[in-house]
Amino acid sequence: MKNRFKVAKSAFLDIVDTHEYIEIESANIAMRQLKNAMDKQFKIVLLFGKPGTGKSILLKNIFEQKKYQKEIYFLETPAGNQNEFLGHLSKVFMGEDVSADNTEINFLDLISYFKSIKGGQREIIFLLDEAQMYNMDILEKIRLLADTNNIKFIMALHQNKKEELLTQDHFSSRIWEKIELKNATKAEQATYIYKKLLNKNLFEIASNIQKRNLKLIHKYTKGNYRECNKLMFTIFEIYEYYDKHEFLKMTNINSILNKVIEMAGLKLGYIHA
Amino acid sequence: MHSIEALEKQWKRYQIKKYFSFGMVSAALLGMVIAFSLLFDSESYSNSKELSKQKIQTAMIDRSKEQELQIPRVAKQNKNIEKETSSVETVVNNNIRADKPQNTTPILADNQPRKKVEVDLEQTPNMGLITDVILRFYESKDPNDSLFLATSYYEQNDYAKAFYWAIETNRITEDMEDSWIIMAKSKARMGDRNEALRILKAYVAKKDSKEASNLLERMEAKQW
Repeated sequence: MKNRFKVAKSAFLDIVDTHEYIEIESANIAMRQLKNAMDKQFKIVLLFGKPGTGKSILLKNIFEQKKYQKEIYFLETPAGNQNEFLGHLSKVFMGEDVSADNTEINFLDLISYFKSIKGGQREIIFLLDEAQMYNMDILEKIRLLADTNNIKFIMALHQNKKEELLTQDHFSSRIWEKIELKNATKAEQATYIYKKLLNKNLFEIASNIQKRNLKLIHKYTKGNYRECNKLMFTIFEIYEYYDKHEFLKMTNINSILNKVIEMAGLKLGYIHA
Repeated sequence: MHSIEALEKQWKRYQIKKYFSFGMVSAALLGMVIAFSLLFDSESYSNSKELSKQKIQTAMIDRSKEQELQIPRVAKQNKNIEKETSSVETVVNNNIRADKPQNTTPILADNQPRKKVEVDLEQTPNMGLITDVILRFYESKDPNDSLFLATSYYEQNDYAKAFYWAIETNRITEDMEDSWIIMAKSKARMGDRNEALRILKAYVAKKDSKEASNLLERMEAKQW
């Protein structure tokens, strides 16, 4: 039988997997906002928030939901340079990425192509994750492409980059919607943790996590999903060890859970001895 | 996961640090509360002298009937003590009784000391505290309280009051050495060295007290 703590640990692996997506109220609201925005005539939507607030999973989730309904493209990894980025776009209308052959892509041709698309014929949506990594040249290209009104961009980026973009009038005037993702509240984080465990059928472990434990977890992670994953992973890693090597210490899981949380907190540097 | 043992040690250090910090903060807060309460007491005393005076007067009046009832009883007890104890102790008790009308024991004589106590207390710097102890003593009859009052008055050079409260202490128990010593010292300070010597001799005969013996020797040698 697979160690239950090993299973619990795997529930908190920090991977962007839509099958592992946990519906949290604030994320659901953001999802509805995104879907509404996609159905409207818009140019650019910014999805922003601090790292670990669930931007990538939300973007990927909406891609999975809409990929058979709309012409939607998800650029999970940011293009390293302008040519690479234009290569992704060329693939949309040429069916292949010509940048791989070191072919210089004519941006004006791309603009002409997108402009030539008659209204209603194609509705192209690009989802750009980690958009803060695009340089200003690429962002300028995105702005010009968005101006063709036939290509839309949903850009997930960090808070700081959003501030930088909004200071530029020519860019900010094209942003139709800004959706902010925040860290989870205590209640949301509790739901997140419980659902993660219940998805793996770990009812006993879930029921043993007390309010005081959740309070401590939230105190350390401040409701950040990525930090929460890290902490929970480490907690169950320690439990896995105890379960395997020092079984007696595991006889009362309730009494030592906060100790283990603190140990995990020490390991991850949330607290210091 | 060989690092778990190290992590556990680290966790123990963290716990010690956490509780030490908690203890330090608690101690600091407690200190602040005590300092604040002392300061508040002092200020409230200076701002409400009249109020304190009234409080004492009220307490004294409330106690008057009770004291009237107590006086004969106490006097009777003293007589019994005179009969039952040694001749030296009798000397001491007689002297104590003889001193009362002259000094602080008009309580026993004519029910007048309340007025005198009130005036004297008003002049003392720790009146708030002393008043509280007086009131508490009337309730509890705790010899520790009366001895505290005797010591406090002696330190304030109010020897008559110190002598009075030392007697009060001795009425409850004769086993408190400090009470006897304050009684003797107060007498000496008030100019009655012979009486002071008699008190000390009485106590040394009763209890083999090193401190009382030393004081007796120094008084006899006129070094004190």
